[in-house]
Amino acid sequence: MSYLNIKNVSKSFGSKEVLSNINLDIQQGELVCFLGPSGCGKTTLLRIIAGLEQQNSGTLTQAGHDISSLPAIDRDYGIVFQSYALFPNLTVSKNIAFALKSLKLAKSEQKKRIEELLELVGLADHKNKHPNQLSGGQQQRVALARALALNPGLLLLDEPLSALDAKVRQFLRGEIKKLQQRLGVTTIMVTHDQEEALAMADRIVVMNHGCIEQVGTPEDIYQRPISKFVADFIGSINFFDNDQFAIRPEHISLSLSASEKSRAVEVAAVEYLGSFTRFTVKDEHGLYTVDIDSNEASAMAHANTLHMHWLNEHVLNMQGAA
Amino acid sequence: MTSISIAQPSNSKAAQRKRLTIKWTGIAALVTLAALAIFVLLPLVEVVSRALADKDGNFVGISNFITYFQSPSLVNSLFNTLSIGLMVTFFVVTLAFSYAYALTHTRMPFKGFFRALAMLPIFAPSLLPAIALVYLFGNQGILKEWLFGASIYGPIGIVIGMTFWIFPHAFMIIYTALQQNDGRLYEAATSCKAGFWHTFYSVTLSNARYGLLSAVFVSFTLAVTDFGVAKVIGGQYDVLATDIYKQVIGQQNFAMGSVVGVVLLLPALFSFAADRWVQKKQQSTLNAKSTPFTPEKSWLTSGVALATTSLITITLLTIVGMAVYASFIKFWPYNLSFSLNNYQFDLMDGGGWESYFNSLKMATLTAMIGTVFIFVTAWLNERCQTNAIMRQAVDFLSMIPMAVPGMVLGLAYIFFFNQPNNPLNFMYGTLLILAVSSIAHFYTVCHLSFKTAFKQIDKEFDQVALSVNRSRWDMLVKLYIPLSMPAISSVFLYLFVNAMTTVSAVVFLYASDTALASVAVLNMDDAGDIAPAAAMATLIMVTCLAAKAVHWLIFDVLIIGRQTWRTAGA
Ligand SMILES: Nc1ncnc2c1ncn2[C@@H]1O[C@H](COP(=O)(O)OP(=O)(O)O)[C@@H](O)[C@H]1O
Ligand SMILES: [Mg+2]
Repeated sequence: MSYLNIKNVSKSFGSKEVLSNINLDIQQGELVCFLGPSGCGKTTLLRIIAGLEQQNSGTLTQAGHDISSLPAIDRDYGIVFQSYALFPNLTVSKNIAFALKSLKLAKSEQKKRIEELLELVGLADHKNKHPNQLSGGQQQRVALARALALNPGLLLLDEPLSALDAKVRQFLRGEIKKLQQRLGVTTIMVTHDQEEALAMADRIVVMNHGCIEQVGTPEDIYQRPISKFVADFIGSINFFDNDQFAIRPEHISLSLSASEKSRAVEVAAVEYLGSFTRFTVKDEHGLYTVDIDSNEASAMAHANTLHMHWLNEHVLNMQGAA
Repeated sequence: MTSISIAQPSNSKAAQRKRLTIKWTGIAALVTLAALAIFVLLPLVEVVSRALADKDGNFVGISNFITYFQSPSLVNSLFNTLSIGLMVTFFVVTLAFSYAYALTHTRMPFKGFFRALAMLPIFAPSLLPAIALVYLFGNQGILKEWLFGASIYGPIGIVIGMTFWIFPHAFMIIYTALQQNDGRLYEAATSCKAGFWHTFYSVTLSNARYGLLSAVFVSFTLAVTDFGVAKVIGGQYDVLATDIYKQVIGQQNFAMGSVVGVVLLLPALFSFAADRWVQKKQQSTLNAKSTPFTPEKSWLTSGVALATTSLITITLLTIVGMAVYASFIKFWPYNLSFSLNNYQFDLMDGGGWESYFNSLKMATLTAMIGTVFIFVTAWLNERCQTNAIMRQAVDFLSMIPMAVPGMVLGLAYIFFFNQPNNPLNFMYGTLLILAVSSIAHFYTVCHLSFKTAFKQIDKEFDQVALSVNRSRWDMLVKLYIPLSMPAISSVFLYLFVNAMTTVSAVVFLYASDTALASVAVLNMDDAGDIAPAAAMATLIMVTCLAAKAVHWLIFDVLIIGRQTWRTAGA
C-alpha cells in the first residue's frame, strides 16, 4: 500500500478550477517532484496535502489514515517555503527549538536534538546566529532542519531552491537528495525547474492546467513523454512530420560532409553555451535545434551549410499523444 | 551518522489543543468587535437619534434641522467653519510643502534639526498657539501694531493658530510623498533639457500629487473640527465646534447640540472619504524600483531653502516661546519680572495641580490600554479571523473614529454612558471613560499602523507554526510582538501625547474630580486667568516632550536597539 494516496481531489477558487480530479500514489521513502509551469496548481496541491487548503472534493490517505478533513495542526508533516519563513528575531537554535516545543523535552535533551539536526544540515557552527547573519543557502538549510525537527513522516518543499544563486542551488540539490535518502523520509518537492526535477526526483509528476499529465521516473518522462506538452516542457525537443515524431537536440548530429542518410541543412544561428553549442538549422520542412559538443562544434561554427543526421532509435513517436 | 528517532506527539492531544485555539481566538475576535461597536458605533447612533428628537425625547424627524437652517447665526457658523477650513488648508499646505520641499529637494544644511523642529506643535495642545497669539497680538500684545488695527480675536487668530497646530500633520504627509520621488525621472528630465519649472510641474508635483491631496483633506478635517483654537481666540466669531459647546454646556440644548454635531460630521465625513480614495490611488502608484533622488548642489537654492525653513521655524518657535515666556512673567504687561506664581494652579479655578496629575494618569491609561487593545484587535483581525464579513466589520469600525470630530464623539459619550439604564453607566465621571473616549478618538491611525506592520510579516510563519503544533498564542509572543515593536512603541507615544493635549472629546466628559490639564487651560482662559493658562499649556507641552525623550530611551535604545537581529548583517 502506498504511503500517501490522493484520490479524485479537485479544488476551485471561486469559479476558477485550479485542480481537477487529481489521483496520485506516493510510496514510502520516495522523493517526488511536482513539476509544471507557474500557475498550474502545484502549490495548491501541496497545501491541500498539508491541510493548509481544503479540497472541494476527493480524499487523502496518509499512512493508512484518512486525513481528508484533518486540520493542518494534526497532520504529520514538515514544510519548507520558498521564503524559508525563519523567525528573524530568533537565533538558529531557537528557530529549531520553536518546532521542538510540543515534544516537551528536557532542556538537555532538546539541546542534544538541536545539535543533531544542525549537524545533519552541516550548520553546527552557526547555532547562535540570527537568520540575517546567514547566507541564503544556510537559511534554507536551517528551514530544512526545522521542518525535520519533529521527525515528520512527510517532508513538503515548495520551490525550496528557487531563491538561490545557480551555484548554491546546484550544491543544495545534491545535499537535499542525500539527506532525504539517509533519513528515508517521504518527500514532495514543488518546482518549475525541469533540470532540478530530473536531477533529484525518484519520480516526477508533470502537471499542467490543474491536471496531471504524466507520472514517471526522470528517464520515463524524458525518454518516453506521453504528450506533446511533456515532451516540450522537459528539455528541448524538435517536432517533425506534422508533429507525429520528435527528437531531442542532443540526439541529432551535424557534420561538414554528407553521408548516406544525412540531409543538407542551412545554418540559421549558432549559440555558444559553454560545454555545448546550440545550432539552429533549417531545411525545407522547418527549423531544428541541434546541440553539439563544443569541442566538435568549433570546426562547424562558420559553415553555411551542414549535413544533419540522426538514428531512428532516438526518434520519439508522438502519434496518439495529446 | 545521525539517528533521528524521537516519538511523535500523540495526535489526540494536538487535536484538543487545536480546538482550544479556535475557541479563544474566535471568542476574542467577537469581544473586540463588540467593544468597537459599543464604544464607537452605538454612541454615534445616539447622537443622530437625539438630533431627530425634541427636548423630551419624542421623535420629531428633521424638524430640528429645519430650525437650525432657519437660524441665521447658526448657519453663519457653518459658513465660518468652511471658510476657516479652506483658508487654513491653503496656508498649511503651502507652508508645509515649501518646508518639505526644502528638506527633500535641496542640499540645505541642518536638515535633521529642521525636520525635528517641524514636529514641535504636535506636542502642544491647540490652545497653546491661541494663547501665545493673545500675548503677541492681543489687546496688550507686543506686536499689536503689526495687524494695522485689525483684531486677533476672530478669523485672523483662528487661522494663524490652526495653521501652527496643523502644520506638522501636513508636513509629515507631504514630506513622505516628496521623499518617494524617483531619481531616475529627474535624470530623464535633465536629459530632455526640461527647465526647472517644467521639471517641477511634471515630475515633482506630479509624483507628490496624492500626498498633497491627502495633506489637503487631512488639514481641512482638522481645521473644521478643532475646538481649542476657536474657543480661546475666536471672540465673537462662531464655528461649528464652538457652537456645539455653547448649545450643550451653555444652553443645555442637547437636541440642537446634536444637530450641529451631525452638520459638523458632514464636511468631516466628506473629507475623510476623499482622503481614503486618495490613499488607495497612491498605494497602487508606488514603485519599488525607484532610485533615491540626490538634489544638485547649488548655493542659491540651498540659501533660499535655508531662509524659508528658518523663517517658518522662527515663527513656530516664537509662538511656542511666547507662551512659555508669558507663563513665567509676574504680571503682564506691567511687571515683567520672572516668577513661578502662574504655576500655583491650586490658587486658581480650573482644577489645580490635580488636573495635571489626572491628565498624566489618563494619558498613561490611554496609552497602555489603547496600545494593547488596538494591537490585539488588529492582530486577531488580520491574522486569526477567517470570516470575511467579521474582518470587514472590524476594519470599517476602526476607520470611523478618523471621520468623527472630537466634539461629536464627546457628545455621543455623554448621551450613551449617562443613561441610568446603561450597564456601563458606572464609567461615567471616571478617568476610565476619559481614557476610553481618547482611545476611540485616536483609534484609526493606531489601527492602520499595526495593519501595516502585520502586512510586512509573512503569512507563511503561521503555517510553519501549524506544521509544528504551535498555537496562535505562541506566535503572538514569539513573533508578532517582537517584530512589531517599532509600531507598538510609536502607537504608545501617539496615544499618550494626544491624550495629554486633546480637549475636544474630553471637555464634555470630565467630572469635578477628574478635571484634566488641557481642560484646565480652557477654563482658566475662560475665567481670564490667561497667564496660568499659558503655564498649564507649557507644562503639558514639556510633559509631552519629556515623554518623547523617555520613550526614545526605553523603546529605541533599550528595546529596539537591543534587537540586534534588525540590523546585524552577514
Ligand atoms: N488563495 C487563492 N485564491 C484565488 N486563487 C488562487 C489562490 N491560490 C492560488 N490561486 C490560483 O490558483 C492557480 C494555481 O496556483 P498555484 O497552486 O500557486 O500554482 P503554482 O504553484 O503551480 O505556480 C493560480 O492561477 C493562482 O492564481
Ligand atoms: Mg507555487
